[in-house]
This record gives sequence, structure tokens and C-alpha cells, in this order.
Amino acid sequence: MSLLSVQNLHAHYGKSHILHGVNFSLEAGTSVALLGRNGSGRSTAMKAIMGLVSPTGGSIKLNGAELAGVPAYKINRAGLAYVPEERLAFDHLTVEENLTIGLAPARRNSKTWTIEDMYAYFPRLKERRNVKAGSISGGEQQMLTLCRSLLGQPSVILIDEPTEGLAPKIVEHLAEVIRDIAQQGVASILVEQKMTIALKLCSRCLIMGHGSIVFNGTPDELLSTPSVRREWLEVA
Amino acid sequence: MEFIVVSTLNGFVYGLLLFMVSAGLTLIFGMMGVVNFAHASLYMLGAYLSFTITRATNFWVGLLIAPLIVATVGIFIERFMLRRVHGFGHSQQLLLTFGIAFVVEEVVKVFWGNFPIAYRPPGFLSGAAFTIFGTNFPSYRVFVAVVAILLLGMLYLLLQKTRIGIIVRASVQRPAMVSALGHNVPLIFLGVFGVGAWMAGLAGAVGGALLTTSPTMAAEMSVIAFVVVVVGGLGSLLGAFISSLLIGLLTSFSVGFQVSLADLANVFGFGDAARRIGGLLTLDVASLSASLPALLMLIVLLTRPAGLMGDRN
Repeated sequence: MSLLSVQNLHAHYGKSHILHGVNFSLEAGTSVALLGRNGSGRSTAMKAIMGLVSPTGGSIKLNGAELAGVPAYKINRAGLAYVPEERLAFDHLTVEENLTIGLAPARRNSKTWTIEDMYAYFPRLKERRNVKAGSISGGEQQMLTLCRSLLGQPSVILIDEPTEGLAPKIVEHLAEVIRDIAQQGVASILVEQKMTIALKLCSRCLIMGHGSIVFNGTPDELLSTPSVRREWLEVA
Repeated sequence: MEFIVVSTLNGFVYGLLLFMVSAGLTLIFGMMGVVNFAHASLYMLGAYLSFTITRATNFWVGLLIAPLIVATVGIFIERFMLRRVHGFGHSQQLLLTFGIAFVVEEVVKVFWGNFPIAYRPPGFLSGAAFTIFGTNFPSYRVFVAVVAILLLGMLYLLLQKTRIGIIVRASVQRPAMVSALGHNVPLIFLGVFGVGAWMAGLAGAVGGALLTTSPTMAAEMSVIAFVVVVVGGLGSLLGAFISSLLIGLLTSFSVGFQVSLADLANVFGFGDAARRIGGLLTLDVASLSASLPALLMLIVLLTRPAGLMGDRN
């Protein structure tokens, strides 16, 4: 049985139909890239899985337990974590207070992350622990929100566009950490627009187009089918 | 000199009392976006309940129990009324809380009568705490200030130093994200509403004996508390604290200020002429004291629309 299985997921924003039956599954400890153009529904899919957008149909199962229609805080407690594209740090709180909010008690069968682990990943955050999150750089906010979600001791972490607008050096550092998280047994879904990082980090690539999954294969399969890339990824 | 010192002390006490009411109001607005017109009704309920409980038992029991009953009423209002209209936007919440305010006022009239009641400070607090420039400063005012300062300290520690306080402050900014991090935000809202109602009830329990306990006290306090919250910046606790003291002092000083425009004209030799014209020119500052806070609000809104400490539009 898959760790996370999403079947025929639908979602609407008001009257507009955004997700038209999304299907995929995720095995424990693996990384999956979710690619696609802007507006293809990737972020909405993440929000719907996390319970921040109410699904209008379909099923989301984590370890066999149904999560569609469950409030976000229960989905988090079930083992899902979410790092939003907009990062959404708590600006008026310090870096350490931000981390404290994410901290959940240890769960069975998974590694327990501590704030010290986070500081080991990103020493920069330790230096800035008493600084208000609103006044740190975009790269530091990305580190912060990744750590904040990781402290919830998830079995699956959804990361939306972690590298958008960041300097190459920071991107590399984040990629290393994301790879290490996977090695520690946390499965991840990485929403990306650029293929490069996704191909480096992930064992499977999903492509979304018009609100459903239009490609599901390994990075090698994706590289060897230029027609898919041309149709769903490249901007003419 | 005497006028300045005594007015400052009185203004300080009144300002602290205002803060006890407006703290809950601004916290509830900041977190839930709810403009709670029934908040001052909870303050009134605190005064009447503690009056009745004090009569049956003693002052301390009234002070302890009345705010707890008010908190329960507040929790009931949030859980079974406000939460049901939450999805429909501000106007529904406004109408609902307006309605609750009317119902509370009528209930108070039915049970306690449509006139002021004799809610007085207890005997052991009715003397003078100290004498300054020949004026006796009442012990009860000192007591109100002590209660308010203790409450302020407790609120500060709760919000700044505890994890639950950190979560509350985060929920003010991004409730959805806090929920995605595993916290039951509706429950946190309920708790904040309960604490806000408890503070209003406590303010009523101590303030009722300081000011007047009557069925109109809610409407009067409601106006001032909204002025405090708007001047301080909607949702800002520090702003509410500063503007509470500001308005407390403003009110206290203006009450004792028997000066009119005619007196000013006197300096230039037009005093008698101004007095003959009358109207606005002979209106002294003291009789304007109730409208001065509104004037302050107008000025703040025109110059700093977000309020003194507000950071959003």
C-alpha cells in the first residue's frame, strides 16, 4: 500500500474548476517532483491535499486514512506538512518563535526533528534566531519555513516552489537539505517549474496540465520524451 | 499643580480601566476580524453580576465569580452564534453582535431595573489611600489601577512568554498557516474570545463601582472602547494600551478644565463681546470632555488612518 494516495481529486475556486481528477501515489521515503506551467493547478493540488482548499471530490489517503474534507490541523497531525510557495513566515515573531510554532511531539516510526537539528542544517538561522522573521532575507525565510514544517515530524512534506527567486548557492544548500530529509525517511512532493533541481532530487516526475496529471514517469523517461516536455513544460 | 497631579492620577486609573475593556476588543478584532459590538455589554454584565454576587456573599467572591460567568457567556456567544455567521462576512457579524448588545441591555433592565444601581466600593476600600496637595485620593482607585496593572502583566507574560501566546500572535497574522502547522485555530479563537470576555467582565466588576452601574453603561463604554481601539490601531495591543492612557488623561484633564473660547478672547480684550454672542464661544472644555475622544479619533484617522500602532489598512 502506498503511503499517500490521491485519487480523482477535484477542487474549485468559487465557480472555476481547478483540479479535474488528480491521481497519483507516493511511496514512503521517496521524492516526487510535481512539474507544470503556471496555472496548471500544482499549488491548488498541494493546498487541497493539505486541507487549505476544500476538495470538491475524490479521495486523499495517508496510510489508508481518508483526509479529504478533514480540517488542516488534523491533516498535519496525521503526518502531512506543507511549505507554501509564498513562505508565509510569521513576520512579527522571531525566527525561533516561528520554529516553536511548528514543533510537534515525537511520533512513532519516524525520526524526531529538533530545533537544534534545524540549526545544524542552516547555521544561518541560528545566527538570526532572535531576529523578527519579517526582516530576514527571502532565502532565510525559505529555510525557516522548511524547518518550521519539518518540526511537525511529518511522514510526507509538500514543498511548493522552494527555489523560486533564490541565489544559486542557496538553492544548492536547500537541495542538499531536501535530499537529506528524504534519506531520513520523510517522503516529499516538490513543486517546481524548472526541471533541473527536480531531476537531481526526485525519483519520479509528475507533470500537471489543465488540472490533472498528464505525465507520470522517472526522470530518465521524462528526458527521453521531448514531446511531453514541449507540450507541457516549455514556454513557447 | 494640584490639578495636574490629581488629574493625571485620575486619568491614569480611568485609562487602565479602558484598557481592560479594549484589550479584549482589539485582540478579538486582530485575530478573527470580528468587530464585536457586544463587547461592552459583557463589561456591563460583569458589573451587574458582581454587584449581585457581592451582596449575596462578599466583594472578593463577586470579583472572582462574575468575570468567570461573563467568560462563559462570551464562549457561548462565540461557539454557538458568531461561529455560525463566520462565513458570511463582516456585516452579519456586526448585525449579530449589535443584536446581542440590545438583548443584554434589555435583560439587564428586566432583572435590575432601568435605573442606576448602588454598586459601591467595599467598606475596606472606601477610604483615602493617600493625601496629595490636600486632596484625598480614594483607595478604590488605587485598587482598580493595581488590578489593571496585574492583568496587563499577566496578559503580557501570556502572549510573549508562553507557547500558546506565540501561537495566538501567529494566528493573528496567518490563521490558515497556523492551522496547517497542526493547531486547532477555531479552538484558539474560542479561547481568545473567552479571555477577552473575562477581561471585560473583570473590568465591569471593578469599574462598575468606580463609575456608574446602569443599563446605559454598555453603550457609553462601547463608544469609548471603539475610539481606543481605532486610535491605537485595530488589532494592536500596545496601541490600545497607549491610546487608553491617552484618552483617560484627555478625559480627566478636560473634565476639570473650565475654560471657554470666551476666556481666550478675554486675553485680547474681547471677552465680554464673546460672552454676549454665547453659543460655541461660551462652551467650556469640561462640557466637551465626552466628545474630545471622538475628536482625537477623527484627527488620528485623518493623519494616520491605520491608528497609532496599526500596520494594516
